[in-house]
Amino acid sequence: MQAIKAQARAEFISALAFLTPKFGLFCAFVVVPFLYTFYLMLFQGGLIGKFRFVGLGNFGALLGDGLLRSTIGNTLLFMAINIPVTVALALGVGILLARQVKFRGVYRSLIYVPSLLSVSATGLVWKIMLDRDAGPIYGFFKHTLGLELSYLQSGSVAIVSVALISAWASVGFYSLIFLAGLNGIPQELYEAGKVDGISPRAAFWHITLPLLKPVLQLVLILTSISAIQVFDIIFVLTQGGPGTSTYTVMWYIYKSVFGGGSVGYAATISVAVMVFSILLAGAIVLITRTREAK
Amino acid sequence: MAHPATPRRSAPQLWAAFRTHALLSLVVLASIGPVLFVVVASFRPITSFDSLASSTAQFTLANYLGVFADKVSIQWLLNSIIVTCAVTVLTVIVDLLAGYAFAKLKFKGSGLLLSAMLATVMVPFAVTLLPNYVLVARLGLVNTYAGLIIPLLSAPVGVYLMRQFIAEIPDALLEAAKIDGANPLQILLKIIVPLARQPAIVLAVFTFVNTWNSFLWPLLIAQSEDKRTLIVGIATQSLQHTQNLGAMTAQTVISMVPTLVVFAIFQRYFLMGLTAGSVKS
Repeated sequence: MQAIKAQARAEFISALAFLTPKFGLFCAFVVVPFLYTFYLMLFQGGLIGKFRFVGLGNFGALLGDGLLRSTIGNTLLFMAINIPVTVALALGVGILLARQVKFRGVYRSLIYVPSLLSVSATGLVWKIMLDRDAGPIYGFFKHTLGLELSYLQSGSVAIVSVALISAWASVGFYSLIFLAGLNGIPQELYEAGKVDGISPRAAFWHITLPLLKPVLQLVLILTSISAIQVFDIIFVLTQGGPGTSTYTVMWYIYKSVFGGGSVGYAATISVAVMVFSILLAGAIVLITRTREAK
Repeated sequence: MAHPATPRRSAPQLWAAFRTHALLSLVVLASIGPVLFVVVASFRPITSFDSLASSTAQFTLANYLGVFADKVSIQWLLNSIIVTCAVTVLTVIVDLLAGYAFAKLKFKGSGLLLSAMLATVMVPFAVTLLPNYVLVARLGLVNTYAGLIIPLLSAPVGVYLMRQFIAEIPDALLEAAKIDGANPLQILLKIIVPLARQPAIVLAVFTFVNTWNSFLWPLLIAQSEDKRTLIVGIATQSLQHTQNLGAMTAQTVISMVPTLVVFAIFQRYFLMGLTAGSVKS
């Protein structure tokens, strides 16, 4: 009896010891900052100098901020292009990769390459591809379609280009997630479908899509959360420009805080981003659920 | 039409296979074509976009020799290696310890603590970034390796991965060791660590790639040029002065090598990780 008790105590103490590093780091860099955000919301002041208590004043400032409004518009436009393009392409590529063809391992590896690049590499690659004088993609669209767009320098086009380039960089990653999901669908279902004489299209809508729903849900949530917070690709490709036409919410937060602006105000915006992401994730879960009920 | 080696394949089947190959080749071209273009450009005598347009097919190593002769670029490369290796090794150790505690040691609140940690995966980094920066700045860790490394060790995903795997190790194995008088630390080192090699490698390769490519945090923390990582260095130098395009393409290609090599060697672990990720949902 005594020995068992001693062993249980030893186990508890070791659990404590093994958990302490992770839990300490987690508290210090996730929990405390998370709570600190809500505290910061009530203050005004730059990174250097003292904070001044303003209560809910930051919320008021939020509503009257014209640049923030256009920034939100840009972010939503980015999301509206980036999310569907990424998900649709990744699903398509995933389906192609799931087919039993030769060299599929080679295709799979090569398609993953853009997902291994840093944002700096992606930025340079696409600056070169879209360059007016030397860019092969620029040249291709010029010669085939007569397009001579300033893909990254024109106010109305830049956010679209950035959204598509960002999709290019992540399609490989998500297509492999879809592939893993597709590989989990029992092949017998398709065999049975074939016996019943359903078309490949019907098989996609009635077998693939319903069974892929959990993975689709995951990919939608992941792409949405990363699109809401888009920052890196803006930094390397447009720096928010031309003018403020590619200002996204994260870029705005970065610019204002490190340009001497109020930390508390930026914290208020970031909390709004969080609320919006939670609502969006909830909506995605709800939409995919109701479809399941049908 | 049927090939002798595959006599059972009908014409429509061959056509379908051909279409799949054609489409996949197109996707491959779109994926690596732009990257290869830059790799080729890095071996050309170019200094600017103008010279890229008019460059001949002449081969040169001048861009690479230039980068390796440049002290700043070498420092960036070194910083990237230090930060990435430190974060990878420490993440695996810290997450293995916590994963073992969650999977095999009984203590009150274990389940609650784990779900609380996992719930924060959904919190956008935008929310914790600013206060994290303010806190790290107050601790005096801005522009230090510690500031670049330590906050990256707080991500909860790895703990979950390790816990799931370690939970599958049969309890009987651990009980036998306990009866022999082994303490939890000995069990960890003698039984868990050898058996948990696979998920540890999965965690290590993903951590390596993510840390090597990490951008926003090192951008904020590395404020002087000599503390920048290669990725941040490449992205920020182009803003400061008209950069030599040849040197920049060479730096970029060098920066791609470690992640591509790690992927090439540990490919099946990447697939394992992605499969685990999609099944988890």
